[in-house]
Amino acid sequence: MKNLMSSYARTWAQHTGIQFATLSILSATLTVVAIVFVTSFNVNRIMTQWGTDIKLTAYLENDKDLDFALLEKKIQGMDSVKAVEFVGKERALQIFNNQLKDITPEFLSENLDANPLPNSFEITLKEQIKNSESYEVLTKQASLISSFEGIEDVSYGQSWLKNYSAFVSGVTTSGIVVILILLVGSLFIIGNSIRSSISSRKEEIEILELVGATRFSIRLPFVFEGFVTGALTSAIGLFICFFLFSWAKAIISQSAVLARLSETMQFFDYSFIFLFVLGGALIGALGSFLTVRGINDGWSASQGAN
Amino acid sequence: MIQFSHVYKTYLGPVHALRNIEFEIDKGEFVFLTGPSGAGKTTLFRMISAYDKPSSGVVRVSGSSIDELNANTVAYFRRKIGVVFQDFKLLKDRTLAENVALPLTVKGHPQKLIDQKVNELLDQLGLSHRKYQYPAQISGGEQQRVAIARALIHQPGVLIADEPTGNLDPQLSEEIMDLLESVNAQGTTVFVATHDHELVRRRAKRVIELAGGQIVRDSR
Repeated sequence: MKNLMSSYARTWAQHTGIQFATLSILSATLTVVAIVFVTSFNVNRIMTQWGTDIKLTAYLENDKDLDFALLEKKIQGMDSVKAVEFVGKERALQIFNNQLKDITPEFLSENLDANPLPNSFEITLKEQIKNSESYEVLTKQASLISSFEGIEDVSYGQSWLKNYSAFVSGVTTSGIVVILILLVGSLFIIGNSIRSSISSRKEEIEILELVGATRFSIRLPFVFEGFVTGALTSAIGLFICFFLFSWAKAIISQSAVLARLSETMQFFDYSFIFLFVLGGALIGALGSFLTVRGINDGWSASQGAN
Repeated sequence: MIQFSHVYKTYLGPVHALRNIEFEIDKGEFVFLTGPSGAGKTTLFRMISAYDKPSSGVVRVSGSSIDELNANTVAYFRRKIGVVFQDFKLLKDRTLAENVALPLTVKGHPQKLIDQKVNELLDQLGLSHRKYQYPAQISGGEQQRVAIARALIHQPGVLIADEPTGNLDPQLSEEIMDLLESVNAQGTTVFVATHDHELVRRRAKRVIELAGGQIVRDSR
């Protein structure tokens, strides 16, 4: 370990400029990766929370004499249903009035002399809406409930939900694509840095070969160099991302419209931070390994001479 | 210890660097390889140190056939030999002690043992007072002595030296040759390439002479 550390220190001493440039570019790249992660994580988190609130409303036929208790029991007996609540037409009107009284009080007092609202059931499902698959489950359940005797219509914000699930899937997919592109880019950046390191230490490699160093022992310091660079830059990336996240959260919390969002926003937990830094280190080691794999084969001096 | 049997080496061109080389050097011998520039001395030495393979024929050193070495085994072969070059090939950013220690470091010997061996060897060569200095801080003769120390620290059976006095003045050259002779006296086979005929004549050792890639004289 002491030898590996001193080898890394020598690289810094010999190529301060290149090392600094590599560190800066990689830190910037991994900051973007961390931002994509934290954005995707929080969008999913916020959306999932909204998704938890989603309920189906089954409206009952007005002019039929229905056994509400029996219908409620039938719906409650469905596998995916968590809770069913009967909302009588009087209560529905009361809720309606409560929701509208602050917005259009004159409309309520002047025009509503009869109750046009139907009886209904408010149905909460066991699964929360997370993606298009759960959206399909929801539509299937809605379609099943609407086929029951006495059910006029089932509403669950169809068009909003469709867009919502597509948005969540879109954010996740584009996040994965962006992260993959940036990680492949990181491999190249680390590979180039290691290549320049190898090129300037060609004589050292030849001398090490001359005294009987194995391929493994010659390559190891470069792979270690990539590992440390990857770990360092991912830690720096997370650090910068944390500051940007805190700044964004503070701005959002000051907005009257979005203030509630900031309560849901959350940075990564310690286990994710550890995994992110470890992932960066492994990508660095892999980038180095792919580069050194083709360079030193125990005969580099003879290849150079011929 | 060193055996060349019908060895040819042809580079792209074609350039015939070595033609039908055949000789044998026994354990404990001291042999000079002479010849003008371009005679093939360096090519021959590169084969002995496994930096090159013959186009045809067999080269055997310390029981290993160079042609059969691969990327994994070549490192272990080089641990059995010691090599000294005209340009010393010392690592400029390591102290003299670190340079001398390299063959033991790569073998993974304990640091305590390495320090002990390095100190003993540098003492013998009169360089112990300079062990924490860097190659650029010492003279050419001292650098060559450090290179020889590095080539000897792992007690190889064979020491090959390619023009070890090429960059040194006559007095330092004699000192280096004395040192190589004392190494040989301790049982190490020494094979030295040089184009300094005067130096060879004074030492009265076996001489193999190359010209145009062929052996033209073997004084055995």
